[in-house]
Amino acid sequence: MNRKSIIIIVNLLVYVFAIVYVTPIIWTVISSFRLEKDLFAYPPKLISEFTFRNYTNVIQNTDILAYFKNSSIVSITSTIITIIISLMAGYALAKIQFRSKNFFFTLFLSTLMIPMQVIMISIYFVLARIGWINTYWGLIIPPAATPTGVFLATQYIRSTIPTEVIESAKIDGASELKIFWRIIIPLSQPVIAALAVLSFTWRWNDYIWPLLVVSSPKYMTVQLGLALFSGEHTVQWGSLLAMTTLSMIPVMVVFLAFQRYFVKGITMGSLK
Amino acid sequence: MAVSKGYRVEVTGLFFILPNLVIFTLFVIFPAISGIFLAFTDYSMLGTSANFVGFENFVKIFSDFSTSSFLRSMLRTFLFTAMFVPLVFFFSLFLSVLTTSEIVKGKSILRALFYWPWILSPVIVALSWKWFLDIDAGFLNIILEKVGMEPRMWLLEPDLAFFWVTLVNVWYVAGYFMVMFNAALTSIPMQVYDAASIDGANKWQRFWYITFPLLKPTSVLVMVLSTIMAIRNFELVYVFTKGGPGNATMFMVQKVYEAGFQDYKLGLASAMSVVMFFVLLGLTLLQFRYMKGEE
Repeated sequence: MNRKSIIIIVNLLVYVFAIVYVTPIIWTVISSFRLEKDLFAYPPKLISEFTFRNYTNVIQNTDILAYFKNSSIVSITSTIITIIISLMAGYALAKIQFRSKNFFFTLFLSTLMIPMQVIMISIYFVLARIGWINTYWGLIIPPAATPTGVFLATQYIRSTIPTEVIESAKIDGASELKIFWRIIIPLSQPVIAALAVLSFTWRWNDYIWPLLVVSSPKYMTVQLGLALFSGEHTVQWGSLLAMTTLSMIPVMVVFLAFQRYFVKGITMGSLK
Repeated sequence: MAVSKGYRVEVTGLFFILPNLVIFTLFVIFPAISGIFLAFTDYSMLGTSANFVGFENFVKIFSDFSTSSFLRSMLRTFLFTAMFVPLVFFFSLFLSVLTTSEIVKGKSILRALFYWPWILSPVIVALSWKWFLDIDAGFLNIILEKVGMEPRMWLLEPDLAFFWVTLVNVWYVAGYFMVMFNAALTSIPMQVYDAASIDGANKWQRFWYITFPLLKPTSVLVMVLSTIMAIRNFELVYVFTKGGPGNATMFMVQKVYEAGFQDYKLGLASAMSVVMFFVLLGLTLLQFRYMKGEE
């Protein structure tokens, strides 16, 4: 066998493997366009009529639109806050020579060491005490502060924004806030993009945090709604599959549009 | 004047870190500390006051070894970790070698396909696989039936459920670690390989003696991160199997969650959290030390 045919065979194998790899997701998407009676037909059918019935059902008969609204509000607002407060901290930790800087940098990074799962019981108390259970505040504000965000912003500002630029702005009489808005934010586009993509995905996909904060249907996010719907005694698989497929769309769109920032976020921060 | 300038710099610095500082203090640092105190009380959401009970919660945790106990869920978590970490390591390295290989075409499509699971939520992943493994309508059973084999109830047998939970978790994270390995693999300068080829090293030798050692920092990171992931694992399994069948896939975090939010034994749940924290800390330190000792 010559080299060329080996290459073709290897590529073929790799692609077959890749397709098999994503079959569970593909199968979910395909199944969501089939009639419920065909899903459970006997003998089982691999191919059947194409329909949007599940989608119209799920939109008419469930609160999915409200879940989408809640998830969008939470993900977008929380992401904007993450970006602003991470850059603020990043600017201070990278460029302002205050004495307690190292202490706070270490403190912030050490919060990475305390996983949410370990402190969820006592977090619940704090949330209850300040009245943030079943509120947008509780969903949005606490997860907006992420050590990864602070870390990425600090590293980026330290290594790419020259101190001279900031110094000369100061000599021209610019205040620190003005420097932040006029210099730091415009010069931080790449890290802002990476943070936006990561943060939006985390918030959209988050399950455990909303699980703590929300018990009222009014504030249910998409992930909570999905889990709730799938936990009902008689699961309507047709509707559930349509709901699952719909809830994939936002992160897939973000991923396809900003693929390189995903990778950058991982390789820059390596941590969630 | 020097004093007042220093003071101003200090205030400016603190001002900029203030939002993060407040949130971290309120929702990470304070809960972490108060959780330790709570662990020594009998606080329950139903009762009004918390009484100090000393080590009672810990005694309770370490004396119960029934299948539904926290200790057993901890052992199950360790077993899961012991399978998950090496599988994740070799599998994501394998994906990385595939997607950086010279002879493979269309690498960015491949990377996107393998990375796909990781962008989805644990809930979506759990539901997709639940559907995939469904007794009647799941893809796997349909295929088995078509080729004349018996369909199985994949998630209703304890050992099989544990197997699938492990596999699905590996599948979920492999693409993420693949990207980390890719970054490391593509940063190795080609000249190193060329030099080795001139010296007569074959492909396998080049991988073993050059690539593998140079991947060491990434390998350590992958192992530490995947260990932490395995220990805190909760959402995916909670939606996928609810810890069942029986307690076959009941892991530590779910046990804490149920003790706290279903049985309302918050003191006990906090004590479990403290145990869990030390487990996490211990494992991470152990891993770092082991990796250092290896060099």
